[in-house]
Amino acid sequence: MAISGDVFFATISELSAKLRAKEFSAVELTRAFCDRLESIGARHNALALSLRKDALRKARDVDGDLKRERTRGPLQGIPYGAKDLLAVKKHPTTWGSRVFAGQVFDDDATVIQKLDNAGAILIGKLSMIELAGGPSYGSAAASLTGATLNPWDRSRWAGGSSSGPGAAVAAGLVTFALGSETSGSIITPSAYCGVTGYRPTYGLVSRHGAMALAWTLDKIGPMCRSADDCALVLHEIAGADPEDPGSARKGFPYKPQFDRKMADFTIGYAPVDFERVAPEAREAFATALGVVKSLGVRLKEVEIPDFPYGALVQTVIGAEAASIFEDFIRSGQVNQMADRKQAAGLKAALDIPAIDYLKAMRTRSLVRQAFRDMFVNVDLLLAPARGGPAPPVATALGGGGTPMGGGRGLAAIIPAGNLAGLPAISLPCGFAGGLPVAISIIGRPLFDHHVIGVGRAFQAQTDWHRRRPPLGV
Amino acid sequence: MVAGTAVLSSGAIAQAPPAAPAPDSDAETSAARAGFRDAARELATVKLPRATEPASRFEA
Repeated sequence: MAISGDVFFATISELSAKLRAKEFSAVELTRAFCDRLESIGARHNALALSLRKDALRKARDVDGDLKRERTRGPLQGIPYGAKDLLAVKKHPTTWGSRVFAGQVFDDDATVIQKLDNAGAILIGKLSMIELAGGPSYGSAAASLTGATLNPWDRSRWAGGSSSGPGAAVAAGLVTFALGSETSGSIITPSAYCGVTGYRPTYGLVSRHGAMALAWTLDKIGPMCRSADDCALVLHEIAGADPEDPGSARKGFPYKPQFDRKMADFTIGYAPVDFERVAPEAREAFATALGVVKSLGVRLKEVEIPDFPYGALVQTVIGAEAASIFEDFIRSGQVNQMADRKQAAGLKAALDIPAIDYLKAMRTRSLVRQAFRDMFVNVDLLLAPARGGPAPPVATALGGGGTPMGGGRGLAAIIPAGNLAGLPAISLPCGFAGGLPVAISIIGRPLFDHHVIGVGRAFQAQTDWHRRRPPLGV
Repeated sequence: MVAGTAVLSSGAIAQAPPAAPAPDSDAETSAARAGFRDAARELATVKLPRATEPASRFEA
């Protein structure tokens, strides 16, 4: 049966219902998504490796299970992609790097195994910024696969470092994807590509089998078409894992029927953040703020605790990445990286004194305490996910700094939230010059249910997350 | 720069990697070191409480 265009942009629940109603088989669905991923994905540099053969084999198993009414949940038969830092056994896992292009692991990453158990169908590895962008990088082309192009406008970047996941979900090449975030790498491509991306509480999702960039910052999270989809995926991938020393030993049982009423929430925000966004985005963000207010939540003005977040994240990522990639750096392989700024940063990071790293970690304790104090008075935080739409592909990156004038607001919430291990969701909230923009909701650690709950409520009142890029196919 | 692609018989997509970059200059690495030193100076402005246990563990 021919798969219609709507299917490629369906949510997990919608697709699951169609599979169970036998509108098409899992094999037909998988083949259609693989065709799309291999053609459109390649055109956007979103695809690192097609897994068509394995995916079709899995799809046949799913069809067999569905025929016998052996159901496993809403992810059964759903095609997805994984950022190419997640090990998939017996296939290359490149970490976005020419140096590791032939690297193969014997075992699946824990999250891949969990999704396999849930019946989800992995159809491809998705492109990423080389070594997840650590410690920093200067261009969108810092990748084995080149710059990932934004499906909304191919002259624009998809964002990083989870570039392929953002583009692939936005363009309907996969129903959902797994990305990762150390400092911004789920939230940024989600915002730029107009998809719903979720960064879980640190430790909620096992990192076993994922490339490490910074042990105390790395998180794996879903990038989907909706907050509900993020929750469905998180339900499967969250949980204790003795193989991950950073595991929070908590799961995420998804029970939306127990969502709290919006009137129960006090959300902290800074009006100055919504004034400082790119001029072409101001109207979209103002409208989005109005929608949040209309949900019935209480809004309270707040300001981020005063710490040098940029210096903190730079030191922590630098030192941990240098340790993780020490052999890679000292061997000289680092000189084969696609981005010279990134290579230079890794080399320099070897010289970060231990005392500087320890000072950063001690300061992090203060950051965590300051956020605990802030969350006494508010339940959640609200901020623009990024201050404007996706930049042109050729833009030099890394020029961001503390906005001047008007106070701190929550401008540094990406590094701050990552340093404190806070969960966050990026929610499409409109368009600026035809390009998506997004707000983010941030919660205290292990407040994931409520972050997602507010996301669901926002998306019940809006349809920006359902919009489709003008791909012409 | 958009990388070239070719579909292999196995169904995988072969990526033509970008041209190999020239090794970065000492100046670039020196600039990166200076960046880390600047970060350290910024961190030195934070008043830390007296440490009673090592801060070598992290939990959210």
